[in-house]
Amino acid sequence: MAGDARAITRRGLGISVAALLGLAGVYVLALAYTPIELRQGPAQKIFYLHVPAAWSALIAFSLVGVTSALYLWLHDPRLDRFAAASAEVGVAFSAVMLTTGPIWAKPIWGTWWTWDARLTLTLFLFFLFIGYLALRAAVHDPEERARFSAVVGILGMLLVPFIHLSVYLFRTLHPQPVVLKPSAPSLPPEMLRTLLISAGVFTLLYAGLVTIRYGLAMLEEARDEAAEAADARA
Amino acid sequence: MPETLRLILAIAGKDIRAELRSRTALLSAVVFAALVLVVFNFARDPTALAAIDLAPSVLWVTFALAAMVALNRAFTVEREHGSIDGLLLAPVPRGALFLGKLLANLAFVGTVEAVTLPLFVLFFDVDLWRALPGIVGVTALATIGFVSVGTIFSAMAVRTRFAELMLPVLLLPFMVPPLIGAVQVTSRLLADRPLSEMLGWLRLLALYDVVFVTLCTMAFSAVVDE
Amino acid sequence: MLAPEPPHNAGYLVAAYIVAPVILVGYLGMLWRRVVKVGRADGRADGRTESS
Repeated sequence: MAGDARAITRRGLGISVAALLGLAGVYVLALAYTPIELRQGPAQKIFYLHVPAAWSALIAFSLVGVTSALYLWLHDPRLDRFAAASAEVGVAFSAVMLTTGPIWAKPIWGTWWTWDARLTLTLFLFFLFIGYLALRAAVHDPEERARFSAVVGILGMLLVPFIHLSVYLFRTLHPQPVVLKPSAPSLPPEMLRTLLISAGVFTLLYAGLVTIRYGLAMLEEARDEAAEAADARA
Repeated sequence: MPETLRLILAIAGKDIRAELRSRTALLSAVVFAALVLVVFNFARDPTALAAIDLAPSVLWVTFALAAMVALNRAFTVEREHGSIDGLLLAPVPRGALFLGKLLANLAFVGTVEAVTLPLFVLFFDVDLWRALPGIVGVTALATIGFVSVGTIFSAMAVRTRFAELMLPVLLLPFMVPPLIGAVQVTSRLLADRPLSEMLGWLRLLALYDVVFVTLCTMAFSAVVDE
Repeated sequence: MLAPEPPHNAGYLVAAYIVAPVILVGYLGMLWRRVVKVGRADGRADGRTESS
């Protein structure tokens, strides 16, 4: 089993490195081959990192919710292992989002923080991830830990639409959704292209990091089992 | 169906009677709420902001913090007395068990809120009385929301090492939508705004209650059963 | 009307473009270090030498 786990972590590393190379490509694309937005200036290009990071964080979170629900139904420990991996990786992407967000907001809106839909939601995702991971750290029995985490994962997933609704009811100051309008995206084609490529790279990076983290969990479980067996023999 | 209802009321009654005997959760939460109100009073500049503008936020932050104190105490007392184990051995449907505990917790938190409200009116000299029915209504709606999630989380937190820290860390994000809704509705009630301005928020509160009470009732078994 | 110049805020761009990969690569490094550490402990316990 440890051999499989090591293979998984190596595959994850390969995917992550490929994604990072892709990220370098995105940098070249964003800095050299994408036009500067007239009203917002060069700082607008933070958009090509900030938005894909937010999407990755949201993917990470949704998968925690989905695998949590599946775990409570199927009781497969692999689902629990995946949920934990996705939560940790989600924290990393949320951190990127929560740092690039203010760095983008300051030159554009003159303030470091805005309680707009995207930033607020990601802040909540961040706190939910942290709570989820804190709970996992505080419960020792693996089966109990899996059950409790799954409940938090599901409840958290259902909280997200309510946060979104609350912020929407507040009528925020975030710019109108430029990409996902039903008629046609208002972004010029080069910007849209760069954004989508960046989103692809970030998704790939998510996949690579989760794979490593999943393999690491397998390795840690194997080590703990071996240690217990050694204790039992002694 | 009536059998289950009786069961739920019986479980709630047992918890409420236990709490009435020791009164520890109620008293600590009420004292805590009073202290929070006092701190808020000294923390604000009366010339800068009218009491009525600050009132909804102060009231709801106080309610939220007091609710957490009450929830924590309620489950800690139960863990010390081991009373839940007896119930778990009996073939009690876990959903009914949850709803019974929810009712008992609602009774505790509701009592704390009922005592806090007149204190709030006293300390902040706010005229609440004409808006009172609306305020009671929105308080009920919001409280059901966060006490339902609080009940299931305290059942989990009590089984971890840092229970007193784990409950707020888990619960606070879940308290935000009911809190936002409650503050928005309360401020409009105090300003005598028409009902139409509050409908969106009231619907949010009601939907939250339906979704989370249902979900927590279904998920309770995953928390208490091996 | 003459076309206005875009604002000069490239400093923020540089800051963000540095912070983001630092976090991501840093996390990757942290993960991989944990993998290597567990691998070493495992090898010792089994009494075998690790070849990666």
